Amino acid sequence: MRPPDFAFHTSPTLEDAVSVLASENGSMALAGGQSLIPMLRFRLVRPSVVVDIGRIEGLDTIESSEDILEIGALVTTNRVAQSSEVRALSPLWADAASAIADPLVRNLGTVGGNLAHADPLNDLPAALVAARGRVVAEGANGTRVIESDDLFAGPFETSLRRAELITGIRLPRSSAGAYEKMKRAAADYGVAGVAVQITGNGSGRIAVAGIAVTGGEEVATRAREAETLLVGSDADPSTIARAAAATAAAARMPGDERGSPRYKSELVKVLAGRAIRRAMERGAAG
Amino acid sequence: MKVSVVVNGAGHVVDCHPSTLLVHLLREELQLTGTHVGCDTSSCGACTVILDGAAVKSCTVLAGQADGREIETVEGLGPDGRLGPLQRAFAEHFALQCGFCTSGFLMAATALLRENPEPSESEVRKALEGNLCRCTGYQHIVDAVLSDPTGSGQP
Repeated sequence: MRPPDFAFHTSPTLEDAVSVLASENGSMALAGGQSLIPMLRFRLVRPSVVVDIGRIEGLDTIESSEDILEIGALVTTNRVAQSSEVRALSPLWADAASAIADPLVRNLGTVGGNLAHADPLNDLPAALVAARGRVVAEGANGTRVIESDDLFAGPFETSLRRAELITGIRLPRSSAGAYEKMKRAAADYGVAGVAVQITGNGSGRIAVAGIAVTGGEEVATRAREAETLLVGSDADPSTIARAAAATAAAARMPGDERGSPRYKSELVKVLAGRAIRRAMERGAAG
Repeated sequence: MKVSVVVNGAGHVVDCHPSTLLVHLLREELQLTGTHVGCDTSSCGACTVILDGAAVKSCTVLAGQADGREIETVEGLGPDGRLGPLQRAFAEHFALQCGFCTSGFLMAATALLRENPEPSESEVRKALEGNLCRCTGYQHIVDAVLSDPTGSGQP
């Protein structure tokens, strides 16, 4: 299947991309293309102009400060998966990036694209929400910072405005994070995933807990009740079991060819338990 | 639109439609038909080529994205019509039957062995996760890649 006709514009700078996307009706941004190109082929989108933002300089860095890990929007998901800096400062993100598709897709797919596409089965939205990350976006009216809870508006929809592009993400650093995913087949979407990031209070109790689910009704369903159960606890087995059950209840898993709601709900419970335990182990080790 | 690419070391300027995919540019404009179209939905990896050093699915790259870049295809593994070491290892280990997926596996494995000349079995399996083979059951492909075809593991 070949894509339908469109004009192709390579943007040399962010300013150029924003201005072309703002002025051209029906234009769409292309980063790595690993979601957009299949959608073009299936005629799910029919842009008049494809604006290639993949060559814009300065958006492909990984940097860290005392509290924050910053990842540029054009960093490929394989770089995130293989970066020792990400593995140390946000193991949740290293796990989630490694879980995306396969290495050939990860060599082109980008962090910004994975988030902006807002597919309920993409892995990075839940990792962003569980980490309480922020997205930096640039548009015609300048730069703004979007909280993870405010980014996703629904399946394939974000709060990004027309001609507004993600330029990078800011993640609170934590060694106590993990992402657990269940896949049926190498070349298929996952069935479900659970992202967990925890911050301790320094004396063995949990101060902040973030839990979000991939594959639920929403894009990255935040499991607030489960988070509340964990905060203040020392993550004893019975608290973990209750938090895992609360995560499954929050996710409202839809039934499809990958499983019934009941099966998926049970799966989320198991994945949540694993992710919380792994996050705690890593936190204790790191 | 005009797209200039270096394929297996040779420069080409191609006049193509903006919606052309890299795999079609290679097969139809440059007649390099060793790169196959399998699923055409970014699943099977039969179209794998190396783009600026990284193995990618050429059915999911637009020609414009490849402009100014360097591409390696299976034809580059045996430039003078003779099989390269990895291709010989595939033949010796019975790592192909129908052969349709083979060029994709060869390119993904070539990229792996450059980055990691002595991979473990699990590293080989992970690197080839994006390539599907319906004949071999994978074990012989993994054996071929693990057989140190380029001799890099020699002291």
